[in-house]
Order: sequence, then C-alpha cells, then structure tokens
Amino acid sequence: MGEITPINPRVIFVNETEPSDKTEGKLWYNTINNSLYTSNGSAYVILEMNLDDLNKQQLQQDLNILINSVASSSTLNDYEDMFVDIFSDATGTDNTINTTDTTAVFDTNKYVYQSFEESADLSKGIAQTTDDGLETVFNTNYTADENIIISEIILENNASQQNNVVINVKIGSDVIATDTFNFYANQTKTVSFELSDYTKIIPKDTIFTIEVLNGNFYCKTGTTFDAGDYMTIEEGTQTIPGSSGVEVSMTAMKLGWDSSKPKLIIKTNAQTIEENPIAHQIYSDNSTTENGTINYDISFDNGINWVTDQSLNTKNASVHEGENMIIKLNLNGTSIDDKIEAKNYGVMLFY
Amino acid sequence: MKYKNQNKNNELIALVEVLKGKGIVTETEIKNIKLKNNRNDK
Repeated sequence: MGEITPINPRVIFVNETEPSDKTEGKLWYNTINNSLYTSNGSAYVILEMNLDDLNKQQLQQDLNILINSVASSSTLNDYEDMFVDIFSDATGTDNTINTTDTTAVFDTNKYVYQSFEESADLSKGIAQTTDDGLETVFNTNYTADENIIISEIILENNASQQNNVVINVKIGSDVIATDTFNFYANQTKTVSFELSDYTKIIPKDTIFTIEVLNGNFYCKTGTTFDAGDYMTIEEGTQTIPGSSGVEVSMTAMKLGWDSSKPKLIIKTNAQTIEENPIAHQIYSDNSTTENGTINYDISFDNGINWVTDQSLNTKNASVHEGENMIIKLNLNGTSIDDKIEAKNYGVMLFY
Repeated sequence: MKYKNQNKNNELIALVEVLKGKGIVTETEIKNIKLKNNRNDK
C-alpha cells in the first residue's frame, strides 16, 4: 500500500497577493481582479474557461429561431429574401449594424431608447495640505441621486509614470465600466465610457464605486469631494488623491427627457440585395411602454432615397429602385417614462 | 445574414391573388386565417 497524502484542508486562497504556497493544483481567488488562478507548481496562472464555441452555437440557434419568427409574420409566405441580425453585441451577430450612425443605446443584448440631458462636470477631487502617505488604490463610494450614466472620468497624474492602471465603475462587485491604460507623468487621461458596450445605467438611490487600481497615489486625510448635482458622496472610508499624486474628476450624465432627441435610431450598414423589390416587411422582437413606439425607414439606394415611418409586421409597398438596402429602426419616445427596446430585426423582400 | 425563402408556394399565392382580384377575400381575412392557424399550431 502506497503512502497516503493527506488533503490540505485549505482548498482555495482568497487574497489580493499571490500565495507563497505553490503546490500544483492549488487555487487562488484574486480579490483585486475577481479572477481565479491555479498553480502549475511554480506560479499561479489564470484559470480561463473559453465559452466561444458554446456562444457561437447559441447565436446560430437564435438566428434560426429569428428566421422562423420573421417568416411566420408573413401572411402568404410569398417573400423571396430575408435579411436578419441579432443585437447580441453593438455591431450585431452578423456585424450589420452601423455603430457610427446608430443613436440608440446598446444594453447587454438589445438596443434601448434612452434620452440623456446634457452632461456637466459633476465631481472634482480637492487636495488638502497634509500628506497622509502613499496608497495604491483610489476608491470612493457615491449614491446616485438620479438615474445616471458615468460618461467620462478624468485622471490627472502629478506623480511618476504608472503602468497598467485599471479604472472601474462598480455596483457592488459588478463592474459596469472599465478601462486599463499606462499613465505617464504629468498626463491628463480622459476615460470615456459614453455609449460603450460596457456602460450601464446606474439607477437612482444605488450606491456605486469609482476605483483606480495599480496606481501610486499620494493621499490626504480630510479631503473633500464635490459630488455635484446628481450624486452624493457616501460617508465612510474614502481614499482620495492629493495634489502630489493623481487627481480624479468625472462627468456624469443625468438620464432625462431630452426634447431634442425624441427619436433614437438603430441603423444598419448597406446590404446588397437583388435590385428593385416591390414590397418590404420588417419584424423586430421589441417591447414598448407608455407612449413609446417603434417603426422603420428603409432605403434601397444606399441612403439617397428613404421610405419613412413604416409599420412593423406589415407588407409595405412604398419602394424606389436600388440594390443597396439600409434600414433604420426608429425608437420614438415622448417622455422620460417611455421605454423602448429592440433585440433583433428581420426584413423580408418581395419581388 | 441573408436567407432565401425555400418554402414559397407559388400556386397557392397565385390562387389567393386571383381570389383577392375577384373581391372574394380581402387581405385582412387572409391575415386572420393565418393568425388562427398559428394559434392552432401552439
């Protein structure tokens, strides 16, 4: 009978630094980046699970379901060609979305109608006179006083170069916006999250955190931080940079009704079609509340002429000649209460 | 993604067009038949 090795009762290390115990197979949960590592006997390497193949399969199934849904919205099944895409990311599963001209806001797996009031500088770190030592993180908690989106954070480096600086906007442990960059001495770095794939709305009365990791900040005690109109700084432990370190300011956008933007659009790139269809019909898995509506514009000549404000799920016969189709899904709002979402589109062309 | 309709029933479509042309059925009636069939499928 061979020697029985007793099992070390410590299953997983939960720490911000790499454990000194490098026994092969040990696990370490890194509390800084919330990632799991495993030891190969001499060092801890990140444990990754690649779900790309599964995601691809799922999206192919979703596309087939979408084709069936679109087809069943056709009365006589008399269409010739169908063009479909799913808003699984901002560009669409089949990359048909024109993200430059699209004004609707992408959120996880759909485009939404969301109106923003103009942005304003809301917060600025104010340095005190007493140096309180070197810190490696900046970490401040706020309460959102309105539904807001953090669109921009400006960091000013008054210290030496710092590499791989990570900035996170978090609700609890959920990172809703993030960026990583090298930060040079005397540099002002603007991190823009506006309308990015990762930015999410922070609901009113929610506590959120701005944190900066891997930097060396000279911090001050008793520092005040002007939180602006749309948020309140939380009482408790704040680590705030001083004049000789990094200063942080940020711009937030209040969510509100902007009468100058009653319509937000989801616009596709031009797609080559058989020329001169005689009718078109569009399906989109969508939801609307209050007075929000959704309809579409379509062009067959690469955007020169447009057929506008067409109803979904209706065979529309207004056309013009052409072989380059662009679609605009119009998310039409009338007030802050309107919520409009669209998850995909399918257009049927008739000849 | 482009998808070509592989199940188009040209004879049925032509018949319906004739019925519509003669004023025997309307587009709304055809839609209602389709909706009813869809519900029965479920």
